[in-house]
Amino acid sequence: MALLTVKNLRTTFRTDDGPVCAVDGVSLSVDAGQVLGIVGESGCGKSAMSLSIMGLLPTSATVEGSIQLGEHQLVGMPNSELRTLRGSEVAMIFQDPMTSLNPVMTIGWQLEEAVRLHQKVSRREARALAVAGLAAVAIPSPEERLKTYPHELSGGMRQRVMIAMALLNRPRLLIADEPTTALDVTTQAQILELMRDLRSEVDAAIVLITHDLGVVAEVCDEVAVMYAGRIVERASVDELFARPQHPYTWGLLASLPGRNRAGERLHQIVGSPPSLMNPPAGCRFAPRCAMAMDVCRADPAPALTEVAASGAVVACHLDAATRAREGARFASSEDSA
Amino acid sequence: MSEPILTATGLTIGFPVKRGIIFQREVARVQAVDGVDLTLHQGETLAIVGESGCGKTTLARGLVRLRDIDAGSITFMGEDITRQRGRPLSDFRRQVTMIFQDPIASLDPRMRIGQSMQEPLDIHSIGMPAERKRKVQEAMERVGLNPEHYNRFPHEFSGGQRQRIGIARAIILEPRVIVCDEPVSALDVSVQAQIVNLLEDLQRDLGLSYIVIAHDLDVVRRLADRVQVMYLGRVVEQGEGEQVYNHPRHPYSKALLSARPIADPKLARSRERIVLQGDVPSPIKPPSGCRFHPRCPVAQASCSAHDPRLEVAADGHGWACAYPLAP
Ligand SMILES: Nc1ncnc2c1ncn2[C@@H]1O[C@H](COP(=O)(O)OP(=O)(O)OP(=O)(O)O)[C@@H](O)[C@H]1O
Ligand SMILES: Nc1ncnc2c1ncn2[C@@H]1O[C@H](COP(=O)(O)OP(=O)(O)O)[C@@H](O)[C@H]1O
Ligand code: SF4
Ligand code: SF4
Ligand SMILES: [Mg+2]
Ligand SMILES: [Mg+2]
Repeated sequence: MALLTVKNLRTTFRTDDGPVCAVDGVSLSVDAGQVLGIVGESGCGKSAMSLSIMGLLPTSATVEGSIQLGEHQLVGMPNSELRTLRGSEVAMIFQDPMTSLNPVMTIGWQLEEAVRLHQKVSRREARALAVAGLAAVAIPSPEERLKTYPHELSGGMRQRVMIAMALLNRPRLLIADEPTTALDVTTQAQILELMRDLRSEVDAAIVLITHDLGVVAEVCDEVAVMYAGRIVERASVDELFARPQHPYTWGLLASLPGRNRAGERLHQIVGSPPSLMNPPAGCRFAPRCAMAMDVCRADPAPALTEVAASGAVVACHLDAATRAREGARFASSEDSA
Repeated sequence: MSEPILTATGLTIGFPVKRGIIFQREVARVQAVDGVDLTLHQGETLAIVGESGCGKTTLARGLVRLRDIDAGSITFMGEDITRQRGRPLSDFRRQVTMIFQDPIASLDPRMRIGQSMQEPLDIHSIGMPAERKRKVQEAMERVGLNPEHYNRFPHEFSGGQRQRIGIARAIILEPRVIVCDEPVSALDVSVQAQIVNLLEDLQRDLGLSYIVIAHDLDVVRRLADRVQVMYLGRVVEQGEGEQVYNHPRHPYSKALLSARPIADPKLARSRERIVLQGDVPSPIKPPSGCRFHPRCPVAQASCSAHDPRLEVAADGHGWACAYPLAP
């Protein structure tokens, strides 16, 4: 049984220029002990989706569909109940750690408060849990760190503190929205290693949001590729890299700098994603797709359909043979060899 | 190899460390860039790579004379410009321009983008006003922006488009050298590829030479002819792309190369990973001996006492390590 099951999620923002449908009919699920990666370009609705699950959207937004977390239905849940769930059953880490850290309070005070908000423990026990939490994310001399303020820490350390805070109350679901995007490659490697360790130690379900397929390959079990508010491909991580099915996934794979050798021009996905205020009819990727056909530019959009014998699903009008042949050009070296 | 166009010798750039609340006095200087040598040849791309805080931006700003130089010298086309002022400095700044790390912060939010891009022409009094606008629109077209968007504001553009605006601003003066500080770090992977290709097209069409700064060796792999790896204000390894990528000799270069995620889940699971622990130490109190020794996976006892110098072989490959990795 999946811990989190999202069905037909639609998130719409009311704006001065009209409604923006940032998430348009997304369905997915994650099991405990699993990492689901969500990849897509800036503006495709990744954050809107995670904020919908967390119940952290502004009042200008409406959410439709179903978000089932264990026994709780989160869509339509009163705010007071959502607040109790946040920080205990579900926790989130953000790209910018300062969105969840208070600049004028010490790290220790913030961690202890987070514990005491959800658990009936003494100050001393809360302190012990805070120290253990910092140690778990590999922060050296954790007791001393309790006395420091966020600005006294490097970017990577702040990110660790935020992860420690998110894990304090042993959440069943952790959503990490671009947790390494603002970091150096070396710090990113440290945080990704931490996420890998966490998956095996804490039996939580993790949703990892990123624009970088390299990050997905490092830590995820399952992947959903998102384009302009919709999921266009979903597969196990091995399947996605061995047999990528969707032209947009191919473009993302080909733009990874590590895959290109000197002397070879970097593959680029031409143009930019459509406005979600006024998305194109049919397949939303059609204006940028080198393989687009007439049928792609007209409604209805291609539906997510199963790829034979792989468990993957893809939303594309190309026939299976063409997808297999073209996709092989973008598969991981080992598998395509 | 072609002529050197820009060289730096023993470049040292520091910041004051201040003490005192009302009467701040300088109690020490931190050497953010500490004796860096580099040579950029006509038409080539030199990449400078290293972690946050290792001095890349300080070096870049020093090279374009946006920062005072404490010691060492900079030569542009055979002329020492280290302490030039007035007209010669302004000429130098016309020919050596910069693209900034943060495309958002580097644009004035209240200024229309056309004006932002035109500003360098105004500063250097180039052409008549009508001609300036035409030049800006040409540059916009060249970097893939719609010239009709001349009157829009920065917030109306995506991150990738803002970086294109920054690039247009840098090429408008028809420079010979552009120093690019993390031109793609703030961008999505898909947009990174577009900007890397654009930089390459401009180099070919306009005969530019580039210094490209990045924290990620993979990102500059495509662009760089030669690479210098920096750690805590110093160059620890340098060489041609092929030498540094395929045969790194300094343990730090190797660690940087292995930090980048591998977009292949099977390889990612099976590979041997070197994850550097901790952060770059503060340059106020650099570690004794080899500055990398507290984080070096292969450090020996002598490394905390002996500070290795950068030794460059005849083939141009150099490293500063007493126990270099096997080639
Ligand atoms: N204005 C300043 N005053 C004092 N110290 C400074 C100043 N600017 C930078 N430094 C210090 O100089 C060192 C090098 O900084 P620099 O900005 O050049 O690093 P960088 O390599 O560009 O890092 P990043 O990848 O984060 O941009 C750092 O230790 C930094 O804290
Ligand atoms: N508070 C908001 N009000 C109006 N539109 C929004 C708001 N937040 C996000 N959007 C819009 O929703 C879309 C998806 O945004 P987001 O989820 O932040 O993308 P991502 O996280 O994938 O970069 C974008 O078109 C964005 O402009
Ligand atoms: S449906 Fe058509 S336009 Fe869309 S990805 Fe497939 S081939 Fe391209
Ligand atoms: S000199 Fe020693 S500490 Fe420094 S890089 Fe070489 S082996 Fe490592
Ligand atoms: Mg986001
Ligand atoms: Mg910098």
